[in-house]
Amino acid sequence: MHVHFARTSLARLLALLLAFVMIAAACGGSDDSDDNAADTPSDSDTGSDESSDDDAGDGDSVVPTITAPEEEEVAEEEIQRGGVLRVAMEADGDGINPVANNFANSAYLMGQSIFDPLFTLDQDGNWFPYLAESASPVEGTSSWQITLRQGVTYHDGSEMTADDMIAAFEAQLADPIISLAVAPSFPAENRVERIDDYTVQYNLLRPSAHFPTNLTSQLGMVPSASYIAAAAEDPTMDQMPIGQGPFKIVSRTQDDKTVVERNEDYWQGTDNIYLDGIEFLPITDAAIAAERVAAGDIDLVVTSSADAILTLRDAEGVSTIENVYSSENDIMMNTRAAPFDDIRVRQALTYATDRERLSSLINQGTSPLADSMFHPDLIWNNPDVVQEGNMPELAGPLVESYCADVPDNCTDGKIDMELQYSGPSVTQTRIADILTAGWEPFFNVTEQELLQDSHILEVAIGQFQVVTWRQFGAVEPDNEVVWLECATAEGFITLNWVRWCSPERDELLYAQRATDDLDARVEMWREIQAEMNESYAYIFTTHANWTIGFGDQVNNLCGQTGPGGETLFCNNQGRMFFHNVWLGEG
Amino acid sequence: MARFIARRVVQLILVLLSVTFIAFGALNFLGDPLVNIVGPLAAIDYCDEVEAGLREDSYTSINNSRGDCEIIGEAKADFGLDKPVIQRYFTWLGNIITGDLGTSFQTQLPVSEIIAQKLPKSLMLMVMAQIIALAVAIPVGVYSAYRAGRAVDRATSVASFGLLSIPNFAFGVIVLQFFALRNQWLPASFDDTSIGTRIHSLILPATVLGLGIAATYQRLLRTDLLTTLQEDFVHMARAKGMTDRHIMTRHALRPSLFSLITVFGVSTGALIGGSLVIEGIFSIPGIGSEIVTAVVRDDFPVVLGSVVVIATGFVVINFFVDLLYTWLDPRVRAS
Amino acid sequence: MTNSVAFTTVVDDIDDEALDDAVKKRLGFGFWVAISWIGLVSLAALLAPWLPIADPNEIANGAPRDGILGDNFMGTDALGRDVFARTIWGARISLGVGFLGILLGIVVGGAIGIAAGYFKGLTDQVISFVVFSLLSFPSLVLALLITASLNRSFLTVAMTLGIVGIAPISRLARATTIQFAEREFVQAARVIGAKSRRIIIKELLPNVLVPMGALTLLGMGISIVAEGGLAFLGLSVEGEAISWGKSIVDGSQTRDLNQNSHVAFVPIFAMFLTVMALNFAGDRIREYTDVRETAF
Repeated sequence: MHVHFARTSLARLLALLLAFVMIAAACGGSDDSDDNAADTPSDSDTGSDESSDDDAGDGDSVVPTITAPEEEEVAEEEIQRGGVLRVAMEADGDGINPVANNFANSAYLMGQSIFDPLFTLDQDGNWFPYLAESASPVEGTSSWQITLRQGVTYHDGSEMTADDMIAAFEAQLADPIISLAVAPSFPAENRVERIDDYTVQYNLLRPSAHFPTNLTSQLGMVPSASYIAAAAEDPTMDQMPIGQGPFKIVSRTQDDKTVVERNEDYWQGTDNIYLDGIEFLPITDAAIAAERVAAGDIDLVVTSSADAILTLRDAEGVSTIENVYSSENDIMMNTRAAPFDDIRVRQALTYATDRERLSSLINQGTSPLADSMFHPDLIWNNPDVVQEGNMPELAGPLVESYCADVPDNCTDGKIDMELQYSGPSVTQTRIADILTAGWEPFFNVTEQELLQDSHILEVAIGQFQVVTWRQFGAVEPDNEVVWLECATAEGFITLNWVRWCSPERDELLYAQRATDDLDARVEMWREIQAEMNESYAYIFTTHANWTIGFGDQVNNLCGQTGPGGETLFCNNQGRMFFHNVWLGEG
Repeated sequence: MARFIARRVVQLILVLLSVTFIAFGALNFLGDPLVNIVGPLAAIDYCDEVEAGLREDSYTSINNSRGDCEIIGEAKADFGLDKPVIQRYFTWLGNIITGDLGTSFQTQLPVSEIIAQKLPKSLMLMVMAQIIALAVAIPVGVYSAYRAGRAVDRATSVASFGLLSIPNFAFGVIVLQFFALRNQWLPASFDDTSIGTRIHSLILPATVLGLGIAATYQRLLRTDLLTTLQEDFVHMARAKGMTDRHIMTRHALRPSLFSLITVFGVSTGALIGGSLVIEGIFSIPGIGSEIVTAVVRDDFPVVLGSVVVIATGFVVINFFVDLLYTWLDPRVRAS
Repeated sequence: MTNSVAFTTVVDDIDDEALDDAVKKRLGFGFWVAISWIGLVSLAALLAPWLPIADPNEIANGAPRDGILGDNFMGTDALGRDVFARTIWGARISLGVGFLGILLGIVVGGAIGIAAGYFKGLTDQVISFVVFSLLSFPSLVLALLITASLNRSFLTVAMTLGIVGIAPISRLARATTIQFAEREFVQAARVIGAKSRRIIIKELLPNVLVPMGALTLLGMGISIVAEGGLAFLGLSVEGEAISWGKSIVDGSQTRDLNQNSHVAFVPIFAMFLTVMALNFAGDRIREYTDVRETAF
């Protein structure tokens, strides 16, 4: 049994797709464009520093700024050096090789300490170059040249060059899962060219004004070419990545502990890296992790569990940084499988769903109700779009009319249906029980708990009727196009899970991608939300709350800076940087 | 004796063969090994449909690389799934004997390495549980036999009966609630920082497991001591004017401790089963948690490897217990 | 004797808890208390749909996480469901899989054991060997091996518990059969030329069934606990079905356990009392019928 099959099969391919799906900023949609498109060309000449300041200076903040509570200015001399930060994660990743493993929250936490990204987001949600020195479009915007900083060294001492970027790109395309996010954006041939030692040109399938936003995710983490080659031969090396970030890996035991230490040869110098090292501990019971943060034997936890968030809020000497703008919990219906191919049935299910009850019992006040894929504080949000629900009186007549037309799908005047969810998980089971209780007057509900692998696979290939899910939430909404466009709705396997296709909506999706006029884009996204709402394919329930909880001894989580002094985005779906964090007295 | 041991060794080997075959067979017959290897796609007649031209191989279309059916076909050939189960079993067994337990689907790490990382924590838990069990059961057992029929004896009988009747997970949950959550006297989850924190954080789970088997030990010891006290040499000692306490500790206890050896094997089985659940409740990343995770992830080689290691350990322990018991008590050998 | 003796010595004679002679041959008051409790729980389980209790699946029957003796008799769980009603309904599945499981174990295990004990020779050797191999798995590991690959309906879980019980039960049945096969009345039947089938059914079965009675109670307790163990591994009956094991798991989420421990403690208490009653009654029957060893 030496053959490495797991990763090459479609099932494995999709095994972590859900997590990946929620988090990879660049999935499928290469031609990102965001509001600061006009600024982009100017980025190319003088390097990142001023240009990114320009971005921020435009005031085109696309997200509400998230800050730590009582964030106060600390003089350099007050900062304490040393110490090992103990970080609890909700799960462990398969591995931390960004070109071979699919990064969910835990892998991002570890990965961002070991790898610096090519580009990242500032506190306003705009991208700026990090390891890259510049990014400039050529021939309109269908090709992009990305130039690296010189003198960036890997943990093994070698210098980072264009060859590493190309090796990483080829490896991403060779990986069955990651390529799903990359390949569709590129033509079949001549996808990448080496311009000089530090410059690579990417040739895209369609014009994109904002290709660099794609590289703010795991796709912008570039291991060394020699490591990539070695890891391709020996997958166990995925556990011991060689990056160029502020910390390098010391040891890793999966589902147990991963240890990194300060990289003394960091390309930016070690003056601003305060910690000696970090220990990452997967603790699957987030509430236990929260208790341990409260007890002080763990410094920090990243979670989206209501129980854990409440425990953290209650605890003495513990603070939280909460972000409810990234990713939505929803219920999805397969619009191409009976009975949910009929809009009456989708409407009936929507009316029969008591979102308030679901939210109050499951989220216990930690997550706000969601009306659409955008939180009301986001500029993209359409305030006129309201998620219907809890109107059972409207469901009855619809069910009656459907059952009169299609008696085969009904028993005793109720529609037969199956609710699928991923388990074993107490929370998922509770959600299913609440939903079922509300639906039962109109539907004969069969609950099916599936292991996560099978759950995601069956959704991807359309073997489902109704599922509970979490998705969306990218800082830049253009990254959501892939979940919505018709092109992928037709395939045997699709990322348009609900398989809903609307040509008019497609036009809007591509139009917003083409323009850099923020007001116009906002208008289009509002129309898209309205269309999604009218399709009755999704029932949005709550905006997930990604929370970082930490003891008082942990300082400077928000307000960390990039190479040019840019303030970094704090808590993007629980992801964070560690290089400027320091430990003081609790 | 040599012939006796030789016969037992042959038995041991036969049983190990049988045990590995049952584990291998259960996963092969009850689950589709192909599904375990390449995922649920193998089960939905997907390739037949692709072959019949009813649908496109999704993988090829997305990835421009090898199709799924090609991979499934390769998996079949590589894992010898076209061959009979018996033949596959012996191939697998051959690998095991050379120390090769296969590779995890999930992490690509050798299963033996995974087990080497997880097993020590479980062993530590079990050893601590056994120590706690003996430390509680021996004094209590002796004292209750000494005070047979009195209030103390009755109280311990009720307590040990209660302990035998409470499911270990229920006991674990109650202990967790009271000692770790309500009052934060002891840690609620495993802390791997140092040997000290490891022991400290294993106190609660080890106590839960230990007290369960302590009840069995105590009952056995008490019964055995009472029987011994009926024997002639005890009467003689008493006639010579020795105190009960002296008789109990010097003469009666030693032979009775031998009978504890017989239960040791069985209690190990109870500990293994118990630790599957207790490791989950107290968040201990041991072999029990590993099996449960591997089952959830359909990580066939890890499940099989861990189960085989556990069952083998269990059989070997019982083998030695059996030998030891026979050696101590020649009557068994005679029959 | 055959090899099988060696196989059995390892685990035999273990539960031979000598009992005060005075208690022997008398079921005693405690026995009847235990039986009454078992009867009460079984009756409640059987009649659950007609009892004047809340709908166990009704969300927000009361305020969520309400304590004991509030608006709901035993309080409510995280979803505001009535804990008392859920505990009674949980008895249906817990006792159900327990009873069905042990029934399967006794029928199959008993048949195998009697065959081994009666026919001896190769049959006995083969059966004893397989039984011993099965006993080499810690039972929860064996259960996990079986349920892991299957859909987990009520019947699957009951069947799994039954399969796990087959080996120890058949060992007891074999031992008892051997004991009786030597007795005069069986020998006599053989001498007058009675067929094996007749001897087994008419002479052996009634005698082997007696210790099985004690075993049914003890084994049911073990099966009920095993269901709970499977629930903690996420492998108990799936879907909306309520069992004690699943209720305990639901109430054992860290924060709930800390702040609203009654949600876990009520089903734990029900399970504990029931298992204790089953053990106690089983023990008494065993003493009463003077069966010296048990399979567990």
